Amino acid sequence: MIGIKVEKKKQYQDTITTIPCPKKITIPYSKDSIIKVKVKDTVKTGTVLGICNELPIISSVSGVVTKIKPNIQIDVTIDKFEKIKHDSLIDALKKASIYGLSGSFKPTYLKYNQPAKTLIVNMMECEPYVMADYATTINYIKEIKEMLIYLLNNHPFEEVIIAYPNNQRNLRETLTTSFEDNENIRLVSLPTLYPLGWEKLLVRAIKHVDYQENPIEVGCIVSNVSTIYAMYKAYFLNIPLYERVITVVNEDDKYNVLIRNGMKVKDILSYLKISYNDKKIVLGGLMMGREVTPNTVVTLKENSIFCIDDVKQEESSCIRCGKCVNTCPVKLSPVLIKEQINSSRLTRLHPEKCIECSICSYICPSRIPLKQIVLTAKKKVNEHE
Amino acid sequence: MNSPFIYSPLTTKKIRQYFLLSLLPLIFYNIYVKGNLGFYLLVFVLGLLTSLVFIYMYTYFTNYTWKDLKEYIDPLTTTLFFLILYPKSFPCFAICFMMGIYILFSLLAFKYRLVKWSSFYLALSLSFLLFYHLGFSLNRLFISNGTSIFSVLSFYVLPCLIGFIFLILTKSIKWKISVIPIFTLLFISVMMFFFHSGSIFGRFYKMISSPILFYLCFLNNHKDTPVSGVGCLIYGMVLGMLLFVFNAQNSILRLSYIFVFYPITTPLFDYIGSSERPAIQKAIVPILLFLIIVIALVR
Ligand code: SF4
Ligand code: SF4
Repeated sequence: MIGIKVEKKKQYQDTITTIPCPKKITIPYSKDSIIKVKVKDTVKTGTVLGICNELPIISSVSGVVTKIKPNIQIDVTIDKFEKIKHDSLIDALKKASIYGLSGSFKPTYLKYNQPAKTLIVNMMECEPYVMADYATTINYIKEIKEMLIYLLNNHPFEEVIIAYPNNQRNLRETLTTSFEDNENIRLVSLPTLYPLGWEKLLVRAIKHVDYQENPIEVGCIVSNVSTIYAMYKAYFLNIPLYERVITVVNEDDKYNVLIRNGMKVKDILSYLKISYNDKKIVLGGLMMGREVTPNTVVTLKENSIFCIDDVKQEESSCIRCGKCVNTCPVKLSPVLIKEQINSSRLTRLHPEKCIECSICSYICPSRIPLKQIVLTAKKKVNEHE
Repeated sequence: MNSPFIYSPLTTKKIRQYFLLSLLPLIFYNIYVKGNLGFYLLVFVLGLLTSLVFIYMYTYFTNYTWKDLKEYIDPLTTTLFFLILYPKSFPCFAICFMMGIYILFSLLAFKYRLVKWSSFYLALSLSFLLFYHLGFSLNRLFISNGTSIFSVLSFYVLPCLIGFIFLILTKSIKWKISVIPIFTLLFISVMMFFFHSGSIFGRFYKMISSPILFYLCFLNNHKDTPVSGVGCLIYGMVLGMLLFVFNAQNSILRLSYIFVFYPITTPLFDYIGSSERPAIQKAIVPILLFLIIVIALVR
């Protein structure tokens, strides 16, 4: 089982709308960051505001710093840009603060620091209705190609595999036309199943091997296509990462928008003239996202915003249909975990392996919140250990 | 974390509706064969009401909420099933009585929190056994020609099969548990063809019958089948073989015991099928019990 079909027919569109900068931007940072700017400092787009886990915190706008704690707040003025200077790809990835944009949000330089034979470019974007990677690919295919050819020529990669969803003729044609002259770049189309965009399943589907912790164990690096584009901008254009394309969905209206780090949900929705009163706002995808308020700050980690109707799901008792067991991508038994939640045998069911994909909750006809139950079990087991 | 915000369209409510819909071919066939629509509908409605009353009583005594109990479709389905097939020979009060026994045993098992797995199955099985005997004697009483209720059912294979396929296609029942026993029976029919003369289909048709088909649907809708893919697979194969053995003995009564007792073995198949193997302890008692029953039946 490599996934389930969540969305019947994904309808893609490739137009990207740029959301103009609001008057204020809020840039969140973690507790262990070192902040280098002070209140009233003037910053440019691309200025380093501080350091977090050895990577710079980049200003996404030009303006005046008005607050430092708990988040950096900047009053926006006219855009002026500050570029990075680098002497290698790794240096560029560090200075441009490039993180994996697939959801993992881990520093990208850590991956490219290691020797790998295969680079897998992940275009699967399996979260239903999300099409930000698709729009990025269609709009910036030349830049993506240039980056991939650079990586092939300057890194020990023997091949680059581009994994893309098989239901997109437009994407297939764009990719085929762009890469037909390059032998070492292979296109692999895969079914649009959820969660096939997850690295482990992707490597399994393409290479037919499993790894424990990291794809490098089997000689692979997996990078999301938006990350590849961010790498291109960092290495070739010296532009750090401060913006990205995300998908915004409100009922039948779907948009791809270019946002800057630190915009609020309401800034984006208001610009698109989406009325969000009486609606649930979900950040990060319908399967793995979370409910937020209009004032929530959108960071570069997120790939989508959804405005959905608030429909209550009525829970009923388990009918032992086994759907949760048969669809779990890590082969857990959510229903058995539920039954054994207070038992000492819980550890044998390994709830700690859960990747929080939500398939079990999605598929359960009794609408039992299995993911939450498995997460509670995971917490119990971790505490026990 | 409160995701997901999207759900699969198949709900238990829909499954319940599909179950009722799957009975339609039987209803139409019955109306076509018996031609007594008014009486038939009356019995149908009465049966439905009786089931609802008993589900309500069950709720009342067990402190379960009505919402929880709505999921207990099995008494409802069973009742409807028998009403559809035997409106004249199996009157409503008999069904009420049967439901009472069913409720009593389930109530004992739940209320006093007896050993969870085995007691529940035992209670369920005993109530069905009583129900069978009751049905059998009532049948004699009302038809008085000695025909077993189960043997009459073999005339209804086609409408049963339509309902059965409908349930598989709508994913309301686990195909492994439903289809694999039938394939096992088909495989055995083919094997028998090589050793004995006669047509494969003749033998196969004899082996699958409407009680078997209906049992396979009903079994799936029960809360006592394995949950893992491998568990369902082996469960289905063993079931197919057991159905063959007792079918071949031409003993519908013994076959009915298999219907009644086989679900006891579920914990074993859950144990075999679950990759992490939760506990064998809870599988041992029901398995021993089942083995004793099978040995006794074969002897
Ligand atoms: S999917 Fe839901 S109803 Fe089906 S076995 Fe799992 S918990 Fe029970
Ligand atoms: S949320 Fe966890 S338990 Fe549920 S299907 Fe995903 S990995 Fe399996």
